[in-house]
Amino acid sequence: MATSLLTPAATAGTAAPARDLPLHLTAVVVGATSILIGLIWDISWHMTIGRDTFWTPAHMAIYFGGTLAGLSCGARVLANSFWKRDTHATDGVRLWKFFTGPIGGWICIWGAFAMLTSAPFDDWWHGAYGLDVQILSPPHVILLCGLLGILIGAQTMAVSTQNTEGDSTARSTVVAFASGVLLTLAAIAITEYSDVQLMHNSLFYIVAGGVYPLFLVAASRASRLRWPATATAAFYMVIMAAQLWILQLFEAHPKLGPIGHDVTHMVPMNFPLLLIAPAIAIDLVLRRMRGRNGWLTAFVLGLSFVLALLAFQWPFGSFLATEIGRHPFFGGAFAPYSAPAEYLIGPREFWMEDGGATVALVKAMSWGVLAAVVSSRIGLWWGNWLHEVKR
Amino acid sequence: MTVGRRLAWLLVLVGIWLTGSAHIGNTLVVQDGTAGPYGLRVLVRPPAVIPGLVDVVIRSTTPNAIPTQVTLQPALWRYGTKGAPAPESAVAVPGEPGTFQTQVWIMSSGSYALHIAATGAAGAGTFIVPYTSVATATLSMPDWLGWVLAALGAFLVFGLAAVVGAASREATLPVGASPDTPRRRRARFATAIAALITCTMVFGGWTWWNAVDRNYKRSLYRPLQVATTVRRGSERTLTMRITDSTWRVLKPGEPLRGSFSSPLMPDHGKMMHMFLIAAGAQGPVAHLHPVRTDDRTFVTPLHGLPPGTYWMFADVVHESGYTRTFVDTVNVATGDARPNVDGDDAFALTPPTVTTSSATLSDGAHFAIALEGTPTVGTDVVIHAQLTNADGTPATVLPWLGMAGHAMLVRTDGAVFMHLHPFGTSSMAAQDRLVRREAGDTAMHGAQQPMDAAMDMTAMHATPIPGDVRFPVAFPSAGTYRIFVQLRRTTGTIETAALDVTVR
Repeated sequence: MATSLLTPAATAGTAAPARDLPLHLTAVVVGATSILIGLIWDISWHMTIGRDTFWTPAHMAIYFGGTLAGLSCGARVLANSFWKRDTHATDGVRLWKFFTGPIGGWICIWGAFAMLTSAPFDDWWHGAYGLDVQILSPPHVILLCGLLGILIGAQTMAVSTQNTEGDSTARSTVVAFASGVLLTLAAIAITEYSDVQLMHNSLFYIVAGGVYPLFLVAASRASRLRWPATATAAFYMVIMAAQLWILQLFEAHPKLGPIGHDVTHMVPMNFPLLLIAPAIAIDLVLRRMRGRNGWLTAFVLGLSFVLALLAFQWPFGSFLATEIGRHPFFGGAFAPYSAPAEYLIGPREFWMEDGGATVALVKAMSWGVLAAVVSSRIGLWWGNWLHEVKR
Repeated sequence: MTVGRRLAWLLVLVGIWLTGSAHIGNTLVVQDGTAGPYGLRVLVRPPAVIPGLVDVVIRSTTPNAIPTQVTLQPALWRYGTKGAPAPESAVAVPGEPGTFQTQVWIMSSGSYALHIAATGAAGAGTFIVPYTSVATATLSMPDWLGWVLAALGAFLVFGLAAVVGAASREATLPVGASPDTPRRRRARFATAIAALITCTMVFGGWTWWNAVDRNYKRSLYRPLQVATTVRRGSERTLTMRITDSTWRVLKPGEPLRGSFSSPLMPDHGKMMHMFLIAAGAQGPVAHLHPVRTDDRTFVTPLHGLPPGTYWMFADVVHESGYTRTFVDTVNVATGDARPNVDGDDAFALTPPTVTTSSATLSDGAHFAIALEGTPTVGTDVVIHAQLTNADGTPATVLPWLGMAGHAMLVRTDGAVFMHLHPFGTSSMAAQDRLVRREAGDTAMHGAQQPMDAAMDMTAMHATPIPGDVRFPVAFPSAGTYRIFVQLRRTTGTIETAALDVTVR
C-alpha cells in the first residue's frame, strides 16, 4: 500500500488530498531530469565519439532542461510579482523589493543564469586553450554550479510543495527523486575519485565521506517517506545502472584521435556505488536519534556512513575487479576511446597506497569519518532548513 | 559565424619567436604530390591552439584527372591510422572543380600524417602529407566579452548572496507571515557570509584560471635554446650547441619515458640544414650542413662568409617526422675566403639582385624568379624560378641534395622563415618515414632505419634536369619577405637569386 511508505508522523499530520503536482514544479523536475540525462549522455559522448559541437543532442537536453526550469520559474516570479499579486504577494520569498516567488524558483533562476554565463566563457576558453577534455575547468565549474542550482532548486521546490500542500506519497517521492537526481550529479562531479581501482584506497572513502552524507542526510530530513535516504540512493543507483545498461546498446564510433582501443558502442559510466547500504544506515540513525544533539548525530551518521560503505563497497570493489566485473552488466570493460588497449586487458589492479590495505582502512576510519561527520553536519543543517521550507 | 570563430581573428601571438615549428613563424603546410592518377596540391592551415581544428584545402593539379571524392584522416605518429578516427570526406568547393575542403580535429602536439585518399573515374590513390602540430598562440579576451562576463559574474555573486539572505529570512515562514527583526538580522548575516564565501570562490577560480593560463603558455611551441659560436683556429668553424634542458633525445633502444623526442634522421642527405642570412635579409646568405659531433653539438667550417651579423635558422627532422628549427643570431668577426669542404654548401656572398627579379650570371646566363599568384596571407602561390642560357635557350640544372632546387623565404624582420622545395614546404624525409611507419617498417622510437634508395642523393647528382622549377608556398602573415632560390648549374656551381615580395 502506497501510504505505508510514509512516516507515522507524516501520515498523522495534515490530511490534504493528493492533488496533481503544480505545473511549475513538474516543469522544474522535468528540466532537472533532462539536464541529468543530457549530462550523462554528454560524458558518454566525450568518452565514445569525442568530437562535439554546440548542437549535439546531449547538449540540447542540457539546454532544454536549463531553459525549461529557468523560464518556468521566471514566469512564475513575474506572474506572482505583478499579474497575480493579490493572491501571491505573501506566499513567496521577496527579492529586490518588487519580485516575489518560491525560493526553489529563485535558486533555479540563479542556476539558469550561471549556465548562461558559462556558455560564452566556455566558448572563449576553447578558443584560448583548445578543446578541453577534462570535466573540471573554470567555465565547466560555473556550468556545474548552474546545473547544481537548478537541481537544488527543483529539490527545494518539491520539498516546499510537500510541506505546504499536504503529505502524499507522490509529493514525497518527488522530493526523493529530485534528491536522487542531485545525488547523481554530485556522484558524477567526483567520478574521477570513484574508479574501481580506488576502492581499496583511502582517497575513495575520504572523498565519498565528504560528499555523499551531505546529500543523503539532507534528503533524509527533507522527504517524508519512511526510508527517504534509501529512496534517494535507490533513485541514484537506478539512474546510474540504467545509463550503464542502455548506453552500451547504441552503436557509435570515435571521431577524434588518437584512439587507444576499438570502440563500437557508446561508452557508459561505471556501475553505481552501493550507496543504498549507507543510506539505510543514515535513515536508521536519523530515526533513532531524532531530537538529539546535532554534532552527536552527525558523528554517528558519519561513522555509520563510512562503516557501511566500507562493509559493502570494499568487497564489491574486489568483485568488480574480477573477470565477472568486466561483464557488460557491471561494465568493468568499458573505457574511453583514448585509453590504450593494454590498460583494458585482464582484471583490474587496485591503486594501493603505501602501507596497503591496513593504512587505507586506518585513513578511511579517521580522515574519511572526519569528512563524513562534517558533511553530515552540513547535511543536517540543510535538511533541517528544507524540512521547514514553506515558500 | 560563431563567437569562437570571430574570436579566432583576435589571435595574439605571444612573442616573436614563439611561433612555428620547422619553419619559424609558420605552421602552414603546402605540398604537391600524387594520389594514384591524381596530382594534388594540399594546403594545411593549422590552428594556433591545440586541440583545435585544422583547415585543409585539396586542389587537383591534373586537369585531365580530377577526383570525385577526397577523404582525409589525421594519424598521430605514435598511433598510426589504426588509432585514427575514420577518414572524413572533404567537401567539393562550389565553382572550383577539383577543389575540396574540410576541417579535422588535431588533439595533440606532435608529428601527424595527413592521409589523403582520392577516388574518381581514373581510379584511386593515396598520399601522405607530414604535419607537425604545435600550439603557437593563445587568445586574449576582447574587452566587450570581459565586461559581459564581469557583469554576469557580479550578478551571480550578488544574486546568490541575495537568494541565501531571502531563504534565511522568509523561506521557512508560514504563508502570510512577516519576518521579525531577529530573522531580518539573521538574513543580513547569512547574506554577508554567502557573499564572502562566493567572493572567495571567485578568487579561487581566478587563481585557478591564471595557473591554467601559465601552464598553457609554457606548453606553447618555442625554439629550443642554443649557443652558437664562431671560432677562428686553423680554419673558421661554427659550433651550434643545444643548451635547452628540455632537449632529451632517446638513444637507440632506450625505452620511451616522459617527454623524450625520437632520434634525428637525415633530411635529403643531411642531418641539419643551416641557413645564415645577413640580419635584415639584405646581405649575404649561406646554406650549410653542419655535422653532429655528439647528441647536442653540430659543427661546420665557416669559410667564405664576410664579417657581419647573421640570423641563423637550422632545420632538423626527428625519426617521428617531427620537424624543428633552431634559431640564433651569429656574429662573424673576420673574413675567410677559402671554400667550404662540403661541396653541398652554398654561399651567396654579395647581395643578390632583387629589383628586377632577374639576375645576370657571370657567363651571361639569366636567373629569374617570379611569383605566380597574388601574395595574400594563407593562400597558396607558386615561386617560379627559371634559368636560361646567355643565348636565351632554357638551361638545365643538376639536382642538388636530391632536389631540383631549394628556396628560402624570410620576412625582413626575421620573424618568419621557411625552407622549401619543389614539392612544397614539408620534409621529404618526414613523408618517407610516415609512409614507412604505416607499412609497419619502423620501430616507434627505435634505431635509424636503412635509407631508401630514393633518398640516396649521390645517385641523383649526375642527371641534368630542366632549369625551370616551381615551389608551392603560402605566406603565414603580412609583411615584406625576401625569397631566395638556389639552383645547381651543370658546372656544379650553386647560384642564388632573390625576390622581394610584399604580402597583404
